[in-house]
Formats: sequence, structure tokens, C-alpha cells
Amino acid sequence: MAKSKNPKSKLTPALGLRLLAAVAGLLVLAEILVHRHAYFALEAMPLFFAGFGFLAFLAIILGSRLVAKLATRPVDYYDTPEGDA
Amino acid sequence: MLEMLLSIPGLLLIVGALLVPVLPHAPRQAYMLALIGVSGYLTFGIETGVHTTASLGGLDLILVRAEAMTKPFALVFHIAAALNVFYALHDPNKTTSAAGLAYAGAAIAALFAGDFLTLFLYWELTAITSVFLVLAGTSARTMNAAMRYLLMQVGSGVVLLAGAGLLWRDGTGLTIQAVDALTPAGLCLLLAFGIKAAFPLVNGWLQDAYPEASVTGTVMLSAFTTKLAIYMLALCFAGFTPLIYIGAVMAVLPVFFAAVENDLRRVLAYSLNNQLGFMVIGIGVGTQLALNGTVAHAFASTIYQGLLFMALGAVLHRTGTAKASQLGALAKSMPLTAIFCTVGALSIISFPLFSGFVTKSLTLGAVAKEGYFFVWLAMVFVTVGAVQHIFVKAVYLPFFGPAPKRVKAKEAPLGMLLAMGAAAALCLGIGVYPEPLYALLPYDARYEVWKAGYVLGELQLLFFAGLGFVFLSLRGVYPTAMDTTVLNTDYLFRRTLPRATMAIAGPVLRVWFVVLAALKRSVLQMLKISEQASRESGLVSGIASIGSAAGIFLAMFALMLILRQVM
Repeated sequence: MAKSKNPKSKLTPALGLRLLAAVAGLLVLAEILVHRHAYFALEAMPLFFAGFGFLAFLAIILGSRLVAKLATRPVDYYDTPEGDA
Repeated sequence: MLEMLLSIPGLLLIVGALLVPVLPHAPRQAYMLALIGVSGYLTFGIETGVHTTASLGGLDLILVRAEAMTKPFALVFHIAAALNVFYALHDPNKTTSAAGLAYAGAAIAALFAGDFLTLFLYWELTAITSVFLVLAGTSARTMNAAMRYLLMQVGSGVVLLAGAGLLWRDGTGLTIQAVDALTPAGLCLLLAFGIKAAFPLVNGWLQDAYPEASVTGTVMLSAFTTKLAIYMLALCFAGFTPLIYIGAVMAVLPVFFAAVENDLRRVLAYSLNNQLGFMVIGIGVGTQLALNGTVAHAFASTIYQGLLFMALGAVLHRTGTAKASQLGALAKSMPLTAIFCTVGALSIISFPLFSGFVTKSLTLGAVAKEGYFFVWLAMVFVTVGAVQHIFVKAVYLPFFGPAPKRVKAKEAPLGMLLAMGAAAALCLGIGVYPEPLYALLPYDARYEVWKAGYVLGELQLLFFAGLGFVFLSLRGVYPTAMDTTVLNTDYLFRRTLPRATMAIAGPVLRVWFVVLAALKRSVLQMLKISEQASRESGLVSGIASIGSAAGIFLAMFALMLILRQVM
């Protein structure tokens, strides 16, 4: 998958960004006040869900690179009788 | 006759669909809504238990039987059928309308089937009626995709029939009930349901065919077939542990494919697949809470998945494309569609106060309670996946993101807006006040989703997944959508199987041609010999009678004719 090299191609507007960051900050602070009941030891770790959400998103994009590399073909792949093989 | 029509749920819609093509547009829509209303009213009154039986050649059939989990499925099928009529108000295609109505009817009737033979009948009817929805598509690939779809769907029915036959032979009877999966009959049924529930390896038809259907056709398709399969799995295989892992694979793998796919209706087909994975996990866990989770999730997801298909269908209808690489800033021209679509997205990512949160959490809680750590982790991961491929890719970027080029679009037609508005209201309604839905669930098991800690964890997960997107896009490494074909398991029968067939057929054919050539040569040789032998000085001249010589030539002539035939 091609990287967007252009730093100007921001997909998020500044206002939305600040809002998102503010809410995320509040959610981190809320962890001090609110007890999260956990079924698993890992889940009981402070900020487990925050960290997992962030890292999982990166992992999905990383994993999708692999799919893009291995499993994508030209858009008309199936339209030709035997594809590119 | 009328009594039978009214006593078998769904039959009214199937038979009523026959009249649909002859009615003019406006009365047709009203007629279909009336039929669905009456059918819904009659169906909702059916209490748990066996209601109508019949005997056919010594086989006892149960035409109508309701289980504890039948009602929620029947209700949501009626809701989906009615929403589909509204959504297709602008669509003059009579075939789609009639096929869609009969398809909904067949799916509803199948829910109430009490034996596998009756189920088989409706199972195949859903296949046959729904293929017309795929055929209504306009792309050049429609025909082939429809045929591949039909092959898988009818194939599933044939395997179902085989399973029913085996059950009958074993003397177990044809009644639909818990089946031991590790018997030949059980495996057949599991495969039959698994095909329609889009299990891994047999899921290709879903992503292949659904996005090729027409705008309205895809919305109709998204509701019934897969949820019917989930319902049957829940009735027959609840607590069959391998389903937990099958479901986990189903839930996780599509996340990566959806991330790469450019056609947004295909992204939704992947997402539908991973939602089904959640439900299959619940069936595998099999506790009362898990099954409640599966049923609640099936109910809610039929509506929010339908809503997402509707919204992106509306985009396709207005702009002519559903490709991520060509869409952006649509919220300006289609503001209502954007709002409804966002509600659908918030539901599917299980944002608190939306329907996904109050339903998916039941399954998640059941999995955690039973201590399946990695499955639970996979399910949390999949939620982040939904943030990526639904919230960011299918909703945020096309509606609110930068526009690759100016896309001219009008707001969706009124009928579409009505359907989307109603679906969005249901998503929000269930999310805010889930009690009526909980009351419909088959068991009393409950899960407290409104604990502050739980809500906080969910919000942290979702917002930090969003920050993941921001982080990548600020660094300029968030992948841009590209137009490609993503290979999926339909590759198996579009490429692997034909190649394997040719790999076997090739050598066989080569040997066959060598044999033929040798035979041909030997016949010519014999002709030559006989010609020489019959000359005046030849071997047979004057010895054999004319009659026997004629006989020899006749036999050789016959042999030549046969060879000509096979060559």
C-alpha cells in the first residue's frame, strides 16, 4: 500500500483533533476516580483499554500492509480468464 | 387455504409476493407493507411450542414450531422487511420487490420450521429468491457472481438434506433440536449452516456476491440468510466448543481484509462477516448469557448493518460509486445520510448509548466469565477493527474527510431517508433503553453493562483507537485507499478449483489423445492390409465368399464410425 508522503494531507481537522485529545485526556484522568472491575489480570492493568485501543489500531494497519502485499491484485484480476498467474 | 396461509408464518409473504409484479408502483409498496404488517402481527402472537404438523409419506413434519429464541429473530426479520420496502420506495424494479418479499417470507418461515425437511424447503427457497437480488445488480460481474452465489447457497441446502437423511437413517428423527456435531449427520448440518453463516474458508460468497447486487438488493440480502444460519446454529450446536475458535477466526481475519478493500459495500460485507463471528463465539460458549448475547447481537446487528448498507447504498445511488478512493466531504451534500450513517457506525463499534454496546457486551461478558482470555482479547481487538474499517474508513473519510475530487451529490431520496431514519432511531432506542429487547431474549441471564468502570474501559478503547488513527494520519502513514482486487476465499473456487481440475484433466486428456491416435493409425493399417489382401493376387481373393468379405468390411466400417464419434 502506497504511503501518503505529503505531510499536508491531514485527514483530521485541527478542531476535531483537539476535541478528541481533550476527551482522551479526561478518560485517562477518570481512571483515578472509577474502579474498573476486571476478569483478567492484564485487563486490571491501569489504562489497559487505552493502550490496547491505540496499539491495536496500529497493529491493524500494519497487518493490513501484509494483506495488501500478499493478497491484492489488479482491479480487473478476475475479469481475465486466468488472471496474472 | 386462507387458514393455512395465515397459520404458517412467512407463507403470507411468499404467496403474496406472486401478486407484486402485477401491481402498479404505489399500490405495490402499500400492499407489501400491509402484508408485512399482518404477517408481523400474526407471527408475534405465536407462543412457544409446536403448532402445525403434517404427515408426508410416513414422515412427520412440524410446519410451525416456536422456540424461545424464535420471537426476536422473527421480529427483526419483519422489521428488516418493512425497512427494505421503505428503502426501495424509489426503485421501480418489480423483480427485486417480489423476490425481496418472498425471500423475507422464506427466511421467516424457516425460523418456525420444526423439522429439517421443512427447513430444507425454505432454506432452498431463500437461496432461489435471493439470487434475483444479486442478479438485479448492474455491474458486468453480476451474472457470474450470482451464479457462484447460487452454487454455494443451493450447495448448502444439499448438504443440509444429506444431514437430514443421515439423521433419519439413524432413527433420531427429523426434529430440529440439539445435534451431536461429531457424527456424520452433525457434520453435514454444521457445514450446511456454516456455509450460510460464512464460516472461514466458505465465506467467499458473501464478499463476492453481496456488493455486486443492486443498491436495494444488497440491503435486503444483508438481513436474512446469515442470521437464519446463526439461529439454526444456536438451536442445534449451542455449547459446541470448537465454534468459539471458528467464531474468533471469523471475527479477526476480516478486519485485515476490510482495511485493504476499497469498495465500501465490500468493506461492509467483511464487517458483516466479523459480526457473525461474534455470534458464533456466543453459540460456542453456549451459556445462557452467551446465547442471550448472540440473539441480542443478531437482532441489533441486523438493523445497524442494514443501516450501514443503506447509507452507503444511498451514496452509490447518488454518486455512482461506493469506492473509498473516490469519496469525501459527502456530509455537505448528504447531511441526513451522514448523520444516520454515523449512528450506524457508533452502533457497530459499540459506543455506549448505541445498540451494539448493550448487545455485544452480553457475549463479551459471557466469554470473560467463562475465562476464555484470548478469545476475549480477540473480541476487544475486533472492536478496534470496527473503528478502523467502519468508523474511519466507511463513515468518517467518505462523509467528513477530504474530497479527492468534487463529488456532486444530492441528498438520498425520501424513502431511503425514512428507512435510514427509522433504523437509526432503533439503534439509538435500543442503546438507550435496551429493556424491551432484553425482555425478548430466550433466557433470564443478564449482564450489567452500565457499570461506570465498564463504560469507561469501552470509551478508552474507542477514543484511543481514534487517537491511533490521528497519530498515523499526522505522520502521513495512514494508508490511502487504492483500487485493487483483494483475494479472498472465493479464490478457492474461482482459481484453485479450476486449476486443479485442469491439472488432473490435462494429463488424462493427453493420454486419451495418444490412445485415439494409435487406434486411428491401426484402423488405417487394417484398411491397407485388407485392401492388399483383396487384390486379385491377394490373400483373401477367391477364398472367402463375397458375403463374408462384405461382413468384414461392414465390421471395420462400424468400428471407424464409433471411433469418429469418440474423436
